[in-house]
Amino acid sequence: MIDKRLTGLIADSKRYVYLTIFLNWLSLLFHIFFVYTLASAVRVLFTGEREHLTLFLVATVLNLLAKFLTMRLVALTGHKASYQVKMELRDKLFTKLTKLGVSYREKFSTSELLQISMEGVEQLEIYFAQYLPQLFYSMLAPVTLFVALVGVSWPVAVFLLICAPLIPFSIAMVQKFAKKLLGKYWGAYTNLGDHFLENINGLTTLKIYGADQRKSDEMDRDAEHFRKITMKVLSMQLNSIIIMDIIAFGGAAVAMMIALFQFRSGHVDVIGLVAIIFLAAEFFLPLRSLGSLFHVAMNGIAAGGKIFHFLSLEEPEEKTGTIESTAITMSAVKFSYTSEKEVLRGINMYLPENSFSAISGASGCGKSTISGIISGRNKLYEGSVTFGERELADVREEDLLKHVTVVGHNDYIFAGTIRENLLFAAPEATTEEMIAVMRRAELDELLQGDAPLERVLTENAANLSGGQKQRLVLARAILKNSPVYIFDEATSNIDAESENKIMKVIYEMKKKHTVILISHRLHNLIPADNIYFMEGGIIVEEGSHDKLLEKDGAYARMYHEQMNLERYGMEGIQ
Amino acid sequence: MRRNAFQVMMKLIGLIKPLLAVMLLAITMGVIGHLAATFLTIFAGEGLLFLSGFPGGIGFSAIIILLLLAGFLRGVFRYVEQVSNHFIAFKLLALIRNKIFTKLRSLAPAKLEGRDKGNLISIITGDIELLEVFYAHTISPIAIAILTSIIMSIYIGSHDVASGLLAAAGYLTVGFILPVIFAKLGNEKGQEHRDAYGAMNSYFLENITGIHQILQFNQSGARMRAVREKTAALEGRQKYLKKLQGINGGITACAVVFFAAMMFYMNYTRGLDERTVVLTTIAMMGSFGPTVALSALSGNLYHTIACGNRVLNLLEEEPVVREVTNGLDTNYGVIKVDDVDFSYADKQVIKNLSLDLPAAGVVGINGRSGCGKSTLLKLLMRFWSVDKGAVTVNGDNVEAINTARLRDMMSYVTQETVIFNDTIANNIAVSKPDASREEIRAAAKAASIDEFIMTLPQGYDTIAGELGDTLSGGEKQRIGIARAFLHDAPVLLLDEPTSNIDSLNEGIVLKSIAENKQGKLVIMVSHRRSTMGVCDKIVAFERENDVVMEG
Repeated sequence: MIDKRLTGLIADSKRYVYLTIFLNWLSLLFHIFFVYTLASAVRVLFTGEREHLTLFLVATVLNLLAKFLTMRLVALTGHKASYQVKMELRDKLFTKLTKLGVSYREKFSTSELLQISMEGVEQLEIYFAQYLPQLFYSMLAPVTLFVALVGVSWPVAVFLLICAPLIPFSIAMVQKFAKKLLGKYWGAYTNLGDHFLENINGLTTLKIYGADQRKSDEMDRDAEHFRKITMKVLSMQLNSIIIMDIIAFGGAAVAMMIALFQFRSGHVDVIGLVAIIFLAAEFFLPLRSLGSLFHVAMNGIAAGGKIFHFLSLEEPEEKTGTIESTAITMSAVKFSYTSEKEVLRGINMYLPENSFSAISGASGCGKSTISGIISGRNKLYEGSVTFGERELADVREEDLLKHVTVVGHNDYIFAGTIRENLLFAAPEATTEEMIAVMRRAELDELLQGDAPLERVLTENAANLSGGQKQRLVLARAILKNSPVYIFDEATSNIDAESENKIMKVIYEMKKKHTVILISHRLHNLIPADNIYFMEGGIIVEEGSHDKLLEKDGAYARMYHEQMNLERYGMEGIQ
Repeated sequence: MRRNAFQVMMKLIGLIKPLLAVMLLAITMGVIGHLAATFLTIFAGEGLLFLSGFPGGIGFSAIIILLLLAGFLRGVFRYVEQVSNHFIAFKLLALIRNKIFTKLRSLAPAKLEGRDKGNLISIITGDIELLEVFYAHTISPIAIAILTSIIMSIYIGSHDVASGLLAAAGYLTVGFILPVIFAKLGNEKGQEHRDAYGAMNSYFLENITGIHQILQFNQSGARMRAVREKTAALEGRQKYLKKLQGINGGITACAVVFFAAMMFYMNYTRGLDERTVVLTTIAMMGSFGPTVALSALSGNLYHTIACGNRVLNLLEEEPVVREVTNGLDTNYGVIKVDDVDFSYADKQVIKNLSLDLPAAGVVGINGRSGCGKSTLLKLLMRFWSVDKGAVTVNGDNVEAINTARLRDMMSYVTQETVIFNDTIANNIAVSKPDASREEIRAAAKAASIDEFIMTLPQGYDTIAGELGDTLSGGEKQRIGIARAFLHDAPVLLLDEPTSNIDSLNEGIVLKSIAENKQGKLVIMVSHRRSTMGVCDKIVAFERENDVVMEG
């Protein structure tokens, strides 16, 4: 029910958890006091001589104050606890991510990371703010009440104390069993929602082909089918409710029955009996609330486990080397993603400073892997990669990233203004420089209006077209002005006009930067000094475009094939 | 249309007529269950009074039996209540989705295009979730609270009228007055907080999705600082809301003790008999369960009403175009566009347009973005109706032809192909659900996507949804074209088919169109000259006018 590592994780929040428990406990004490004064007043009532109920009134007022203040303060401590947890956890996770660096994917999947830092942290937040305090309080409360009642009637007190732990125990048993069954169907549940969503998304397509009625019927059938199955499972799981209520209310009834018999036989007086009537149910209330938080506990522990796993991943050794020369050499480089598939089977390349090289080949030939190695994303390679004299494996990652910029086809643009996104690459850039680089990237259409740089972009520039976004990515990259640029299929997913514009900008970088261009469209590679054509994990042909055409080998074949296809389009332009 | 909270709630309840019977069962069970819990303590009180010399007409053994029955049966009633609630929840979700989907079907595509579709969809799904909570966790508790309060007030009142009134006042305070006050107090800040919280979450999410860029440009320090600042900025508002919650909880808890103590004190000092004093106090103290449960609902109440209003508005929208079902079953013949006008959102998009289209061949419609080319295709499909003039097929006006028949005759490839989370084969077969695997493969071959599909781990049985992100624009588009080919209709409409894909893929797409155009009328709309390469005839569009060019 508790994971010790979790409580150790958030040292500061423990304070607030303890405070919450203490406040609730204190409030309970005032309540018990109130109940006893009430019981006392009833005794007085039964004697027939009604006195002033001063003590009762005092106790009432104190109880009211206690309840109010407790709720008020607990809300505050609960807030502080959850606030701390969230901040600290997210801080820790992000810091760990930056330490793992660009090769983190070799150890942990992105989607899982997203899940634990968003949903996982929220679950842990509830775990700390609600579950833990409730857990400890529901152990403390029955014991306290036991002490309050044992002097009055020890059979009742003992009976209630024994019943108390049966509640969470029975819930745990039923939940564990039901969880296995329900787990199977949880996927189906989210599927229903996903299907609904995608059918709305694709409604136009469905209407075009008259498939919308069919899909609607399908959704109804799936929903009904799902309902039938899960109702069976749920009915079983809801048995925990019967058990819980039987123990709680049945137990309270039995306790009161015992108390009544004891009263009849003179072992318990009026005060005691009244106290028991008002306090018996209190035994079980906290435990029943705990029951509803059970799944919170399960989720919290699961999330915590995953977060720990991530936080304890081995960090790469801190390297100290820096890059002096940007002449890149690859010797006998091999790489495998998994033990079965060897993607690079011995690569030899020499890319002089400020040269313009291109790497190409069919899909899956390993070109992106090479880009991954040079940029530090793939660290587990064999062989040697050097920048001048310096072995890449000895270079500090921060220094590597300062020298090498990768532009891919799916780079992220952050929500915010265009200015903010550009400053990302060069915090000291002036407005003139930013406008200039946007013109260079052929983004004049975005420079209309009064304050073009203040234009707000949504997450990943969803409010720009694909081509515009990619040109902005390019502008940002250029602004950084690093010595080495790798363009890894930077134009593969956008329209032809944008493709041509971007290629033009890349060609202009010739001789001023080391450029490595990776593209499956061979026409893009024509201006390169040297083209490396790959097949099956090794370089099979090498040379300039003209030389390779002359050779009439694999490169030439692919080139002619692609040009034949594009002929269909080019005829329209003539 | 704006409605007040009560109107929204009433209309929302009306929406779920089919489930009302089960809901009544759930409510009844809930009421009995709560009463069992309350009367448990009352019976114990009767026992106390009996043994102290203040009997009330029930024998001691009867009291004990009733006591135990109440305690042990309570669980059974709760069980039936919960099962009913879950039944309602599942059915409800399906029912709401069905209603909304049916409405959207009739509104699409005319009313959905142009709206910020992504936003609309996320709003709808969010609203549905909240509505489910409303139905499953709001109506029932409110009804239970009302019924138990009435019953208990009567019971207490049967001992002493003034006490009954005090009890009623107590239930009203805890179950209605306090929740409404706190709902109002927290409403505005609650909404602001929800928005700011969502924004902060998005910002942090970006730190993970964009980690490569952050490291590449050495911005991790700045991004982390920003997260801390944003979280800190949230703190003020969150603290206020939690404070409100604390006060709400505090006052509610106080109210319970207050009314119980007041009941005792009032009846004690009024000199009422022992039975009345004891039983009214016990009853008061032990009957607040249902009303206290309502205080938890106030947080989301206004937000839920707003959602409900939105959904009701959506369900009352009228479609722009209604399907024709009692019309003509025309066969395919030459399509004519005759002096057509069309406006959209107060803008004249097409004016005095007349076109004579051939029975077969490839017609290209070329022109700048926004000049009305795509709109023409939609008029041919009768997604919208013309303002003036007519679109005719084989002499019959499309307004008179059965819409299903019209759809049979036409295939339409949208600018971006929607891929469903299903097998590739089923994705293609959207246009012909009973197609054989051979037919599907033939269509895929014609669209030059068969080779690619065969490289996938499960070939045609690979689930496309999981590839969703990794399928390139070109590959998706070719699947869309395969769909169209499988439909095998005499007319093929393509709306900017290659505008979002690279040159290589464009070549592939144009080639497959050129090689499969026999016997079809293909109309291709594009702003690119390159697309016109495969066309026999080109129509050039300019804003509001059209100039026909043979080419």
